[in-house]
Amino acid sequence: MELTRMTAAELSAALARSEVSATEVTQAHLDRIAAVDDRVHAFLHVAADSALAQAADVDKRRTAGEQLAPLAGVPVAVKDVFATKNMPTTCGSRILAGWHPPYDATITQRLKQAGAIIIGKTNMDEFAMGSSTENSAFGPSRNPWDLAKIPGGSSGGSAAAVAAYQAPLAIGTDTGGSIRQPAAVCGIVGTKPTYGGSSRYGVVAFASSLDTPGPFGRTVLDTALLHEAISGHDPMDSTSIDAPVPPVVAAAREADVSGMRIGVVSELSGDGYQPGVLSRFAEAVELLESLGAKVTEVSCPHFGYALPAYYLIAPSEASSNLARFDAMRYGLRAGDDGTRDAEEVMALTREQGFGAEVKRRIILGTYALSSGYYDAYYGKAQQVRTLIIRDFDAAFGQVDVLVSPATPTTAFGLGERTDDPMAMYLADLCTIPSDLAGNAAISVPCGLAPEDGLPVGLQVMAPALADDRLYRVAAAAEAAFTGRWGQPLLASAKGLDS
Amino acid sequence: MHLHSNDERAGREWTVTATVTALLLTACRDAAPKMACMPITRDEVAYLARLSRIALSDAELDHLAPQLDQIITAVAQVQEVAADGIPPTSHAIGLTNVFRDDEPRPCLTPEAALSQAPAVEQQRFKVPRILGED
Repeated sequence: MELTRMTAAELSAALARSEVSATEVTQAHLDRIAAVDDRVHAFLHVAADSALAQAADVDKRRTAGEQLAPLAGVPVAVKDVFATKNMPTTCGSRILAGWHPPYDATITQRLKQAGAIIIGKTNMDEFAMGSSTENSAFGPSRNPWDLAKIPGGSSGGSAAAVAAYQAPLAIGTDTGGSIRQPAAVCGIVGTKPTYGGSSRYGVVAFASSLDTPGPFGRTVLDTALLHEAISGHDPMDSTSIDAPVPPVVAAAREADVSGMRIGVVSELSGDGYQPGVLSRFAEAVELLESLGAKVTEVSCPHFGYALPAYYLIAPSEASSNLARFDAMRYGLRAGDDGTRDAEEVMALTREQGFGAEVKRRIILGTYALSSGYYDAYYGKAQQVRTLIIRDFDAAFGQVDVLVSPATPTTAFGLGERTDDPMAMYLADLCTIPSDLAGNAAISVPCGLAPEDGLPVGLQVMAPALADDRLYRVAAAAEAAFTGRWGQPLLASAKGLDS
Repeated sequence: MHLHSNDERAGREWTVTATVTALLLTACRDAAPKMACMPITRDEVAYLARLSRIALSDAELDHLAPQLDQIITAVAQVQEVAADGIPPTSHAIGLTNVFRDDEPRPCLTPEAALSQAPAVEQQRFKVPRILGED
């Protein structure tokens, strides 16, 4: 079998039996990147030399008889929001072009310790603000199903890399849906873990009360393996939860939903949803019922206000977080010709270094936090956040997990929404509630929309620290769907076949 | 295989734009009553940009102001929620202060800390003039 077509679990087993070396696996993926990335543009930086050096080290340790972690020798693509020591980290922004962080993010460190091969840094919407990668200062990534479509965002490069077989696994971050939405539109699996379940240390901050790193994979089990490898308490992140990592890998292997209570969220459906998304979602619900789950409809009356609340809370936090890009200690400095003072240099640098969406959000956040508007906007949004959490609490009193479509539509065309910010924001309609509540959610493929032949994602949401339930449900759905389709969904992606 | 066929695709023409417009219209209509949907002016955007330390060009101001007005009109929907007496949530998990022992630990060397600086002088960050002349 072609190495790039193997799952991470298959690669892990083959590596453990020394049927293949980490160097061969890494080289195969580097070759695949060289062959297709001029069309996909999933990567901002391909770390060929350091990846091969890491692989050689893994091979050496394995030959010496050392017991290695499951992902040792398995390539992982890392979103360019994670600090990687001595490797470029741009966050998709001109203001960080050329920055080589002097330290590793905790998740970068954990990947390295597990022997996972960091194959490169993936494209993203600038500072993770966007749903299409079109806000990247370095040009958009493309959807491997159809190169004229967006791969989703903000972690679109990570999703596209996995869907295009450039890496079996990738890491992203989810603030309003930035893992689940790209996973859904690229036909792969992506998880937003419980907030605080995965460390934010060394992740360039967008909205600190929401930012959650998480895994992408082509299968549910692969995604669980990566989830487990990156999770767990980190003393370097003051919001990291000091609790055992939920048994996600075991749950993915069990794949059993018999007797589980599954709630369909009434508010995440109806007007504005693409008909083919709704029909595939309905099929997924029927499938879960046929597998022994008890399905009921559940109302979460405040979910309709999640999107407006999010677009007040996230920009408010961003306007504060991005104040650090001040041209003084690192990153771009513009206009420092000896005549301008620090404030002028700062304003010129931020003008030149930030793209349009980042400026929009900083200004929006500054507005929402300014005196006179604070109570009407930011304060109100925080109250709505409480009501959304209460909706979830009430729902999880009745059911074990909630389900909905992951996105209201399939992948839209590149350029279609770039000059209509509100239209772009709607891509996160279904994913935002879980970010505001800080609980766990996954997107798993559930078929292709009849109208356009593009993938649809089933979203499963679970209470905080019950991430294992996501994998139990997603793995059951994946097994049943794959049996019905006769092959994994991604096998029908033809965007790179020309 | 239960995947799509081209025939299925042809019969049902459906556009994303229709969805987006429908959702957006709902957002704006619902946002309109009660509180003043204050249109944000170009001058206000210019003021906010100054507060944000972004030297926006005139062309950007022309472009951004109507967009922000549209976004603010849509997010103003939160004001219609009956939230009297509802406590605000700033953070999804209960936050408590985190302490650690005050023990020396390895940290960046001065060289590493300064390695990414735009300008360095005498092992310090060199920055433009901070105080005005007057």
